[in-house]
Amino acid sequence: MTLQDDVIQVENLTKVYQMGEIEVHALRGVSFSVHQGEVLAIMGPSGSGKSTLMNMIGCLDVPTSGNYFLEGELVSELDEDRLALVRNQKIGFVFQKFNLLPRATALANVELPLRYAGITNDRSELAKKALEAVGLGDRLTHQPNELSGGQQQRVAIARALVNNPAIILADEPTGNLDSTSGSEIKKLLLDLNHSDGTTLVIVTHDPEVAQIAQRVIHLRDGQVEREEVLA
Amino acid sequence: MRPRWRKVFADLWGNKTRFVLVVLSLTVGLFTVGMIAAGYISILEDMQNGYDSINPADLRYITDPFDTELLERVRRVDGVTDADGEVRLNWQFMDGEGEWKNMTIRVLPEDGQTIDRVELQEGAYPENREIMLDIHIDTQLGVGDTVLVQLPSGTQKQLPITGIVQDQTIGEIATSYFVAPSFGYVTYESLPWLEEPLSYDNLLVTVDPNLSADEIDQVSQNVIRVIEQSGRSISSVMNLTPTAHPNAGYITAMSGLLALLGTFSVFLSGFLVFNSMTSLFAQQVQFIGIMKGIGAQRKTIIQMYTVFILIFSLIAMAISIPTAGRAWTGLAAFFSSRLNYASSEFHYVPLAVGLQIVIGLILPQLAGIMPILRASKISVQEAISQTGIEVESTGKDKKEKQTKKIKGISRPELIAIRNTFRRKGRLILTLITLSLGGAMFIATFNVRASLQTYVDRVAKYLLADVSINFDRNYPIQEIEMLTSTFLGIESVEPRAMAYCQLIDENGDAAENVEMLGAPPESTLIEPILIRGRWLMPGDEKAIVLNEAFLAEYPDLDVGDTITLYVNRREVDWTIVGFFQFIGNDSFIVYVPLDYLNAVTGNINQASNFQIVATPEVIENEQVDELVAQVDTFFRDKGFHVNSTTSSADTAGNATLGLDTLTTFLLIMAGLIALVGSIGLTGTMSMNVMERTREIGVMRAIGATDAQVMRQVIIEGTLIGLMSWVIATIVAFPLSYFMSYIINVSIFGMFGDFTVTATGFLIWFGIVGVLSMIASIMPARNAAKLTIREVLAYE
Repeated sequence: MTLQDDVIQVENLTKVYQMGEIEVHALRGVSFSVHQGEVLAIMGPSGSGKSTLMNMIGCLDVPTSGNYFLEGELVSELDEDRLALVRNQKIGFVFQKFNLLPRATALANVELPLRYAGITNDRSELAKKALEAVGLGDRLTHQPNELSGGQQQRVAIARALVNNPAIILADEPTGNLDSTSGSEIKKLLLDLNHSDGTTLVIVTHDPEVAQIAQRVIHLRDGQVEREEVLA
Repeated sequence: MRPRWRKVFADLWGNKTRFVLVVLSLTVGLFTVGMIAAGYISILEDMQNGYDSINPADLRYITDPFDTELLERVRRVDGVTDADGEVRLNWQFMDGEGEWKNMTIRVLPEDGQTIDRVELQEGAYPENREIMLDIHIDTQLGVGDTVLVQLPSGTQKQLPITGIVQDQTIGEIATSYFVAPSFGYVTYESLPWLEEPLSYDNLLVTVDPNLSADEIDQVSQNVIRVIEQSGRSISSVMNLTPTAHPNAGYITAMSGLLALLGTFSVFLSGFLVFNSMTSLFAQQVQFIGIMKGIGAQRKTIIQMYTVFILIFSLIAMAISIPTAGRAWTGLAAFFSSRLNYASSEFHYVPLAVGLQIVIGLILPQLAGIMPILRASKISVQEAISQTGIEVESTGKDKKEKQTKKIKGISRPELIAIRNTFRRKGRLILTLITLSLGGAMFIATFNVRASLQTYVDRVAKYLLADVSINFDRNYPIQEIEMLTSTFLGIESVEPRAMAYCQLIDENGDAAENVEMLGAPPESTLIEPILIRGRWLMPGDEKAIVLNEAFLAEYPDLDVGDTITLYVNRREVDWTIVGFFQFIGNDSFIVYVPLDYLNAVTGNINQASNFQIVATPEVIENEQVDELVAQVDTFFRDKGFHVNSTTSSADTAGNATLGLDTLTTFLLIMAGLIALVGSIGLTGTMSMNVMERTREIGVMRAIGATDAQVMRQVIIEGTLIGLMSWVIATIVAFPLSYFMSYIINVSIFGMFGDFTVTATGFLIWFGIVGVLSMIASIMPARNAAKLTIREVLAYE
């Protein structure tokens, strides 16, 4: 596998937090790669460093040392504005608590990344298509408080998809949902992977969610404990 | 320290921005209240106490020359507590820049001053052939220097300056303080050396303070009788009771405004505190849930947060109480020097401090009580399940539906607009604070414009360019002939003035009246007629009265006859009209010049001349040069010139007092605007703080720092603009109210209400900049947080 075939390549990533006088080593030299179209799950107990790793992969935080390549671009050394561009165009986020903007409709929430990307034409059309793709074509003008948890997570997925990102990064995507809605979301994510070849990185501690992945990376104490290939 | 108190202190210090904002809001609120209360209480007190300390005259008589023998006789009049003699001379002096300026000289009584005392500020009292100067004199001369003076005869004398004094009586007679010339003080024994006779011509009298107005009038009549019995005539009687400082009108206006501002500031600081407290407790809900979850009782929580608020109060009071009093002392020093009164040294005003303590202790607790009770009542589950992103109630907000319809506004801007309306209570309080500050600011300019209208009105009676006063009468024809060949003079018009008394139906002198004689055909007066007509050529005993007569004698009408005691005889006059002057309560009349001269025996003579400059002089702005040339010309020819002034200077000086008031108003408006902008910064910070997680999401999906900042700034600017619209509306009634208070205090009545666009436009600029500045800090804070931090924010 070459660097060009990998969507994500992380090399010896470390992250140290300063908590008062104490240094907390959240990541201690993590290396792995994610291939185009792959579904990867990152698992580990609390304090294993999976959230920190997700923040690094999602360009939400910068590593203390190590390299992170996204589609061949060394993103670990980009400035804030370039990182915002990467987050906007190459990464789609799906959060556990959905994180939709409360005073905006489903359509407006999905349109927002397009606006930040500077797209001026057909924004509504693109957002509408994304919502139709997640089965919410009839909920365009609903605000988050008028939608169920499952529906809100679908809106979040549509928002993640709308800019055709290189990866979708899902942090405990079913953590706030009942089992039925959780299953629907899992199915939706898999369908997206199958139909469009979307690369998925799922951070979870739920083995059932991890079952949809082709490969699982187990973290412990900030290091890759083992890798497990499921399919 | 118990864990719960440790938590209180940890909470206080935990969020430094919030801590600073709450303390700042409280401090600014308490500072404003304290400063305004201290000002309100001390300003009137200072002026009255300071003025009382100089033992001001209750009655002043301008008479033929007299000596100490008359003083002794007047002192024996029943009801008189003291009497002093004074001489007032009009000279010119050379200022530090080598220019001749007018100076009024007060000659100090032989046996020391007891009435209308001046207070030594620096140096010592003068001896023979020495001089003291008033502290407000516009010159670089000081103690130890020598001043060159020019006597009316043209003789020049050098006088060493021994001291600098404050004379609070300036403006007490004749002209207002702001148009008064510089003042100097010499001893009685210097008079012969200064080519003046050893005698007084002003009699100052103080009366028993327990006397009523009628009793004082009676005392005055008795004094007049004593003077007349001594064979002297009286040219003017001035009843100065109640003895108020000449600039008391400005102080009354200022204290009235301070009362208004004080009320505002209590409300404004209340709003600030309420905003801060409600936001503070919104963020404490989860902690309260946790505390309750581990067994804390409601009482414990209430107690804990009461102490929490108390700490804020104590810090704010510790800063605001000492600073507010000192700030007022600083301001008072400025105003006292501009308004010529003696302000007291710094001292704590107990009532102001008390007010600060009461408001400082009660208001934050009141503002916090509802959120504390609400938070303490919340269930554990409810409290700890709250997330950083606000949970919306179902049902769409009307305003949100409306904003959705706005076409052409992009999504982030729309979100900013919606955010603005999200916390309506907070928005309303912020808008009130900022709008009131703005309305005050705008009103200041409208008040200034209204006052200027009044000054402009006075100018209609002074249309000449230059006015020259001689210390005696000169033939009109001679002056006209001399000026006819004078380059730069277009025309000249004589004026005469006499002090007289209005005689009532019982034959008693009822009022002192200032009588002005002008040619009926004069084009240098554009009278504002209330009723009847102005003087016409051919008029003889015609008289035009000012509005003071109508106020005091409403039955008087055109065609009526009044009797005035002029030059020791009673003369009947026919009223032909009433005119509007500056609205003060002085009785002023205009009569035909020739007839007045006939009555006073000064036929074809005058001591004042109004000069119109040629258009070239006006165009080339050479009026000041003309003033100097005219003055020198007449002095060189041996005329006894008292003063030569330009109308522009007179008008300029007249506006000085108004500028002092405007400065005062602007400082106060600035303070209110500062409270408003701190309120806005607080609101924006709280809005941003509450949306920290939301901002994190926006950044996670690709919003750049600039885009996040832009959204926050749009929100702040929108609030600023809304406040401007409200301020412009509120400014109208407020301007009217303030103009009314000030006009009535200074001029005795309210004239025209004037509105100017200046205040509206300047405030538009200021509020725009203020809103942006107030938003930039929270916006920068929002952009500074890493997304990891904000998404973790609960």
